[in-house]
Amino acid sequence: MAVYDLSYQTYTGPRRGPVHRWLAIARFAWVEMLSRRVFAILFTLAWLQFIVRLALIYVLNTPLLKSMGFEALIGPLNEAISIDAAFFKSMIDWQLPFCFMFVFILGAGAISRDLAHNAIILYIVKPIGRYEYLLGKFATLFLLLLALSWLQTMALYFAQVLLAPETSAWRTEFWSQYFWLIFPITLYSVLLSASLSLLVLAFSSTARSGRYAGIAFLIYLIGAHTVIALLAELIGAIGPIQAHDWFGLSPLAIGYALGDWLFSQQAEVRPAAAWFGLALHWLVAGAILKWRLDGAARQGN
Amino acid sequence: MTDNGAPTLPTVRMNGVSRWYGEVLGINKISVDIQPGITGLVGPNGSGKSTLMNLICGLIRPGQGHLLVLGQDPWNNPALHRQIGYCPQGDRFYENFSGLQFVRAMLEMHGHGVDWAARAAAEALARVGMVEAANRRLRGYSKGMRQRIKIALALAHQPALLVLDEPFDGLDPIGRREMIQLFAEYGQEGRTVLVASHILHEIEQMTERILVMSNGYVLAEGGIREVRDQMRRHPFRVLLRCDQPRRLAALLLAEPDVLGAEIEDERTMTLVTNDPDSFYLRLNQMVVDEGIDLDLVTLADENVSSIFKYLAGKEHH
Repeated sequence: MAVYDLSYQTYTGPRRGPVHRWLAIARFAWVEMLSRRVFAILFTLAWLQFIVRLALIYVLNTPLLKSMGFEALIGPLNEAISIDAAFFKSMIDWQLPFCFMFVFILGAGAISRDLAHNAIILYIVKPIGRYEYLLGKFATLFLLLLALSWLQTMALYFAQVLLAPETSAWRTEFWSQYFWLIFPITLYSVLLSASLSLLVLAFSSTARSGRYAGIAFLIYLIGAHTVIALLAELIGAIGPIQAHDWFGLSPLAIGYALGDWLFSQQAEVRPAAAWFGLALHWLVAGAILKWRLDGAARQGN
Repeated sequence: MTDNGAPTLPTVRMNGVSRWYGEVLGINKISVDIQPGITGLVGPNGSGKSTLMNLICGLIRPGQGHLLVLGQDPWNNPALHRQIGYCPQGDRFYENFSGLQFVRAMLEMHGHGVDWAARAAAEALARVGMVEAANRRLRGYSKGMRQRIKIALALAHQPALLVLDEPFDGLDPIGRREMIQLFAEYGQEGRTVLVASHILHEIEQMTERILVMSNGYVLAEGGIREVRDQMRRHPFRVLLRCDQPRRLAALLLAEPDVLGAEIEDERTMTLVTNDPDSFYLRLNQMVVDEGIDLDLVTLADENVSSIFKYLAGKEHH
């Protein structure tokens, strides 16, 4: 009979909670992302719009132009640029190309790469369940997209609040006219970031190549919109469904429609149709992810 | 036995465990106990070794039967995973990370704090002889270095059960010897080490206890000598990759147990031997003495399969 010295000790010290564990997945994915030059450059570029808009806010709210002798520019600038709901919505909208780039480059391979190299097991043999693994992957994209949309837009919002002159509407009518903007900025950013992250992860989980997953996602975004445009043209209104409601099924149209609704702007697609489309997309993406992760378990991946 | 004389539970207890992938058999009605110390899991590709290890690690669920690991059901049991260290076969993960960063990242996923993870990662890398290359990126690692990193990853959190899937793949003879020594120390400490390999003589250097698998069944369980003796009568084909295959072939053909040699290309050759144990021992000595740079030593796959078919045939007969 074997005799062992039983000298080994398993770790019994303190451990951090589950959030720390799955956030570690996101944290190290960002570290790896920023270690690649192309991502680092892209990430830096994604702050350009913020810097330009911040400069505009500064110029419009301070006597800088006057002191530099460009008084003639103040009037046209104030006419052309108004710091209001549309300004903040367009900030988020113009950040979308960068969000899409990160979604394609970082998100498309997030799960597919693990499936291709059977690396998913490395996570699952840690004290991390399948759904915590998914949360970690989701958090990687979601928090990054929030940084590019919500964080930057909120920073602009607070810059405007701080820099607005005492006599401006931003100070005198802040609570009645501008305070509410915090909510659409937050909701719009969260909905876009969460939806893009969830959808691209669903596509990523269906392929073993990030490139194919990214292309499929792009084809879906554009293809679905094109098909739905044709459908709306051919079928038109049926009973309570208006012709434009069909666009509630297009992921691109859903985002813009909800943005318009949240920022109290005129939207062609009715909010109910857009919310229905959003819920449908989330449900289908969630079902695909569950099926794929359970499938990976069934196959021993 | 515990202090009061009550029998202790084996680390792994499988009772009639089966696992099918659709209509394909993974493993069938396996009932085994795996005790502390080292157990070798031997079998050709597709024999069910990985399925068995995936079941033990809680990666998949048994279709039938009961499985307990450290007294608990491993399926969907994150707390148990703190006690298990797993070295899988795949090795492409965070390619831009250094070895040290990678092991540390994985330790933080265990819930360890940053400082403890950094210290434990450095210690684990030292144990597998990767201190000098610790800060180089994974993408620049050789196959052997990647293998060492995976082993470091498996043991860094001080698990009670170490599950190693082909841990010697890609390691040079010196690396193999070092890892064998390391696992032997782990086994001596009373931990449970389950090592899957298709090279019997490597398993034999660590333990006397083996599980031989073929086609999803356990063919043999227990002493290694009997199985090895049967295999010794069957010629082995060994694939070697080195910088001087012709010279090495000429040297090896002078040995009585080498039956033939075939040069595949400028770096690869296949040898046939009827005594792998002495062959491997002499090969290790020879490459050191002659200064030959040996990248790979592995049994040619189809031959291993044929050996196990041969064993399986005898068993069924």
